[in-house]
Amino acid sequence: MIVEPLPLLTPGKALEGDLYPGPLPQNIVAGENTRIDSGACFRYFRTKAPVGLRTGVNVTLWRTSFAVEESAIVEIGDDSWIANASLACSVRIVIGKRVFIAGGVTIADSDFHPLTPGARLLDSVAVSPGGDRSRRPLIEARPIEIEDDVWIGYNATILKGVRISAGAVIAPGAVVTANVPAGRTVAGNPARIVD
Amino acid sequence: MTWRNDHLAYDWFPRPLPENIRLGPNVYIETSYIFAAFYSAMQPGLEMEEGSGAYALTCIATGPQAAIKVGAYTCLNGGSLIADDAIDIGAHCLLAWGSVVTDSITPRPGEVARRRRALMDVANDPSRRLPSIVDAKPVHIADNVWVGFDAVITGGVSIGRGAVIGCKAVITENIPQYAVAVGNPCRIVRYLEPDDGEDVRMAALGEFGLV
Repeated sequence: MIVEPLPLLTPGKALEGDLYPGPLPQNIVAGENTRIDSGACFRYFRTKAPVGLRTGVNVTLWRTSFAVEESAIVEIGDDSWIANASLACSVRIVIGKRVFIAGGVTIADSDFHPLTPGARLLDSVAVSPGGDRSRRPLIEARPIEIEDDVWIGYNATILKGVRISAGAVIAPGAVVTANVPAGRTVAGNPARIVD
Repeated sequence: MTWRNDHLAYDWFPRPLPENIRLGPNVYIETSYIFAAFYSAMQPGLEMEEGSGAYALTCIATGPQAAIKVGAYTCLNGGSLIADDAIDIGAHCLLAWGSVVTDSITPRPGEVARRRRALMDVANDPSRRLPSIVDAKPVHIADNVWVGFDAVITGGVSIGRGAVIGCKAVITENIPQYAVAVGNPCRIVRYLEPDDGEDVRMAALGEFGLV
């Protein structure tokens, strides 16, 4: 058995022994004892916010992908443990304390594209090689809030505007489109309360 | 069957394979990155029979007491096997990308004290190996099962011979042999003809000079 420590998260510097080249982004404030496996987590971390990612103490990030746009912000509370989840943030994603997020989870606070067909014609051109990504049509986005002690199972999906209240359980594979009350379990696609 | 452990002529990830895995002849392991979170101390922690393979970003992640078995000619194509207890996968199975086979049992919201304790304890481990945060119960997948992409199979489940699990299905209950199970929550939509007898299997191996 090979047991290697995860490096401490060092904003503005490369992680020791990291296979992914280059320093971590500067605009991260990491609480004490926050550990992360690789700078590859920040491949799509493009936010220019003064603090684009803020973590509490003892946070664990393992293959978590932080695709954070423009002026968006991600916050993660003390003792939270996040595996290879994809956080796609264009406004704000707030995660509380002692939150467990399993592998394969997607947390996305925007729709990525407009809904109406005409606007999508425009968007497909704007994002094309000949277009201009700074002139895309309006894309709906609403912050996501995940409160303390939430457990999110494998391959679940959390969509825009959702508040998951304290202690709730998101079953594997659930697609969450609406708020989840405290201390309840949701499952299914779309997610419904099952416990 | 002879066991070999010298499969990687080249590996982009700079670690050796775990010493407690047993690989049969013609087993393919793409990279030791597959075992980055493999912490089993069992002897062996993993057995992969002849002709099976773990490709691309397959992830085999285990706690210290887990043991995983993978049968002959089974193809692990970029999914995850995650165990604290046991996962037993038969021969000739196909597991697609994003699929998760885990022996974890989804917790009840009321069990928050245990989760809190586990998450606060893990802070003391620089390797951040997550202690047992939920219960685990062995998973058994019979021969010739096809698990579709992004499907999830959770703890305690048995999947019968020849079954097909549709993409993105979530399986929390046993699935009978030759069933086709889809959806979330899942339902069985049909049963397949059991045309995979031993004579057919021998003919298939013979087709490639393997018998």
